Amino acid sequence: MGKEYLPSSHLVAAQSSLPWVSPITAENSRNFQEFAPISPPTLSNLAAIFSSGDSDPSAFIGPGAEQALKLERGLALIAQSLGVRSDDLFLFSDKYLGFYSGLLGLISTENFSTLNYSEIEKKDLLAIIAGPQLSQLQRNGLPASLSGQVSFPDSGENPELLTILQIRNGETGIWQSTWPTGPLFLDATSAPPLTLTGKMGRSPINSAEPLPAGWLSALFDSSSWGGPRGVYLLAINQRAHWKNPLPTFDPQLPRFGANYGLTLWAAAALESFKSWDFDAINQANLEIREIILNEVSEVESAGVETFDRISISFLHVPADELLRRLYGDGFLLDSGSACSPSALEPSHVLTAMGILSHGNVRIRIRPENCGQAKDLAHSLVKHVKDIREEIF
Amino acid sequence: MAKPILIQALGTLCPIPIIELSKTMRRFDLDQEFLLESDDVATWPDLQAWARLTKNRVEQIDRITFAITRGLSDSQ
Repeated sequence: MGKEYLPSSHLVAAQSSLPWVSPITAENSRNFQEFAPISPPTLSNLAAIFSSGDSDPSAFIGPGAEQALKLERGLALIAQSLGVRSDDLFLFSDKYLGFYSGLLGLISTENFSTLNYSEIEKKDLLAIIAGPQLSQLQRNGLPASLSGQVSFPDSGENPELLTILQIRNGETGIWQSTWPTGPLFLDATSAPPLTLTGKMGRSPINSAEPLPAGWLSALFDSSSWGGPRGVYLLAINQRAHWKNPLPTFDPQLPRFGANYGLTLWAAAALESFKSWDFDAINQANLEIREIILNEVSEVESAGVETFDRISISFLHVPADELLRRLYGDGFLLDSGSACSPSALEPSHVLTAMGILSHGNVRIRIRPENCGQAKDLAHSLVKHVKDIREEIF
Repeated sequence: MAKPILIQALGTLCPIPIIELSKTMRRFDLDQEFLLESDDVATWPDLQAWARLTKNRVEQIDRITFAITRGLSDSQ
């Protein structure tokens, strides 16, 4: 697959003849939202993938078989980057289902009596933890510090203690700097493949270790490396006594309605992700933080070395108004807080960390928008100052 | 000491209660105390973050009532 990026003139959404497709809302170069249009290099690779084969990759001969081979190669590429065996990888189209299967499949077969998890875990997983299926366990929700770090108690290799480790928080981009010992279920849904993370601010963890030693099952999300939503990969360690908790006639090799096209997209996105300029992403992250923290008072940012994500909160600023004004400058961002049109509840992650939850914006940096990082920061500074001046 | 000033922010969502508190505090002397009434779930966690950022002191009296006293800084 080719790895070359297209020229910057291509960083605009394609025109469509379909009347129900939204018009262009922003250039990719100013889109700092969690999800952006498919990146040009991935799009280019996907066009090559889908120009042959047909829509049924289960066929034994003909174009469908060719598609199936591509799928196997794509999965092998993903597995290698994740640091797992491709035949230990199961596909899910739904994150909740992936969490449920990964966790309950362990609980149902091992003699765990205690479950430790962090309060900044994803809500999908928190809902499963609070559910009746785990009521026989002692469940301990562990707080996070202002820096986003969770103090996992030393398990002393207790085989009855299962710890859920969120390797990286998706809202803030903060990595857990230490990995607990003992049996682990990994929430790796917001962590790009750890074999590639040496330059993503992941120190002091040894980047030569793809996964923590005690992992039994782990859930990954292709959107963490720029792939589509709807491709979740559950890895089961061969030494785990995992049993599929869902009804099936084939407990050893369950199929969960994985979408072949999206999976190929995930593989193509991973190929593109490998050629990202990680230093440039880190540099853009630093520049945005420096400009804002130097020019605006009463501001809190979550974490420091957060690679492609920034979560930052401005006191006395309604986030929805800030997002509207940024959009006026052509910038698209998300809010991780209350006071946004789609979320009236405060962010449980920011609240658990003790970080200001109102006036929060979330920034995701990619190769396509790196060049606009300084302009975004200056635009943020201007609008925060303007809004505060108008309020007071 | 003067009676605490009551700031009614019931029914409003964040950041309105915090903004109303800060606006009111700017109009009074440094030794004035305040009570904020707010039923928004975000108020208590955000009030604690506000206190840390502005170096003021907060205390939760009941589910919807919060006491505020100025800290070392005169910033709101």
